[in-house]
Amino acid sequence: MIRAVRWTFVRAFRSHIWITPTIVFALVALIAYTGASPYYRSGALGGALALVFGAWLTIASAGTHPGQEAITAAAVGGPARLRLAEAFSAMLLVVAYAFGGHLLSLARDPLFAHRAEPTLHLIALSTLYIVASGVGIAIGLLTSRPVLQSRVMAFSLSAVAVVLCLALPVSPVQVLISVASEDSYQTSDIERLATAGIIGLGLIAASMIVALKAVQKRS
Amino acid sequence: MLTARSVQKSYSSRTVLKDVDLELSPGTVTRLDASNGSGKSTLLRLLAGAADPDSGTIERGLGSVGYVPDRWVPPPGFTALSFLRLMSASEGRRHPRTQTVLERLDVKPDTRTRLTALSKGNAQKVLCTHAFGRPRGTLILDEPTNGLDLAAVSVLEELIDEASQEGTAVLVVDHNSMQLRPHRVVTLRDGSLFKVALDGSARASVVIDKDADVGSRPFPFNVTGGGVADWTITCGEADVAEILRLALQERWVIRSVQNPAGAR
Repeated sequence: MIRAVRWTFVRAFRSHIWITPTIVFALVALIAYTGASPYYRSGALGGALALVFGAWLTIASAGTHPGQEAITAAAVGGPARLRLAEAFSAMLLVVAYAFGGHLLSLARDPLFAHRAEPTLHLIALSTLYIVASGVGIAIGLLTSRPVLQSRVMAFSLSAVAVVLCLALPVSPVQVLISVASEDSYQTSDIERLATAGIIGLGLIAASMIVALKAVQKRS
Repeated sequence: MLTARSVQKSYSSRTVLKDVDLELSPGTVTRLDASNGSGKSTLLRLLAGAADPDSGTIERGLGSVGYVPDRWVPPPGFTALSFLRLMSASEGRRHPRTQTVLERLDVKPDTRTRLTALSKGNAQKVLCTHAFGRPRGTLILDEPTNGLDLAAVSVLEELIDEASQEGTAVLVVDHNSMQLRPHRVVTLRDGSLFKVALDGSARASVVIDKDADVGSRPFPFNVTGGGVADWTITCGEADVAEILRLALQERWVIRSVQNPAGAR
């Protein structure tokens, strides 16, 4: 698995397949994280970005070079393992992006020094970033090659799914964003955080299993 | 050694492979014959580990499996050497023959030229180097001569022969562009595999007459002698039953079957 992750990163770096999402993320983060909002609002916004860019990076890395995927899959132990490695690599990158952006907002916001629950805030943000990027990646896996062949279809369906995740009040990502946006936490917030985190991780696991089965079936 | 048992694969409602059994023994060259769109590339992808079967098992043993797919779009950003190094690292094996194979195929990799800037033939040579540069094991070659010049095709034939002599099991799809001497031929037809041994130990022969109603439908094995309507297949004794079944299914008429003792 480590070899497959390494392949994914080296290929993404050399082939520039993640360069466009990265530049767009950097621009959006620069505007969002350095705006007038307090740092905790900016941090929560990073969850929405993680969702979007998780899906984008996953679609971008799927099936771009016919034949090459087959050779790599044969080398690393199968198409499902390769796709899982691509998903994991995208997740690492998106979470790193999100925290990197959050550091920007911390650097400029002196309020953080007076925050009552910095550890809890960090836990809330970590949960948000991991769940949001995981959901985004699961959406990307379910809508991209080899599950769906059309890239236009992949981006269209992903956009709909991402909007639903952000708009529906029951969506774990939406719940986690609202919890992370609080300037201080109540007991009920901690319960919502834990519940949404568990449901979110469960959804990610279930979606990944379905997506990887589909990859095995269609590759 | 590579063994496939009861392998099935379908896409949507179309069954591509039905209960395919195949064994690739060390030191043998097997040629896979099939018409376009018959599923041979799917079979090779499954055997190489680039795709998973719907059911059945494929055991690849401990040796390495080198794979040349039928079409390949090189990833941008890589030179030949950086690509070969990364593929070797991704597989977790050293590919000790890489430099030798590159030289024999007359590839002069420099550190600047990208794979995407190479001609189709030179890119194909790099792909073949990826397969032949590895330690011996199994080679799955899907039309490996695509884009190669005659000199490179000749080198490829030598490489296949040498690999086989050194104990590698080779499965190759080739539309007669190489002068191969396979030990056996397997034919994929309607999702099923039929095997004919061509290892020189002529142990049985099947003589068939073409039924006039069959028209121009081709017989799925390479056959010799007899003109248009009379064909002789020399094969391994174990393959006779499969040949007879297929011939009868295709409405050919069996004139005689000769067993090893010479009796008809």
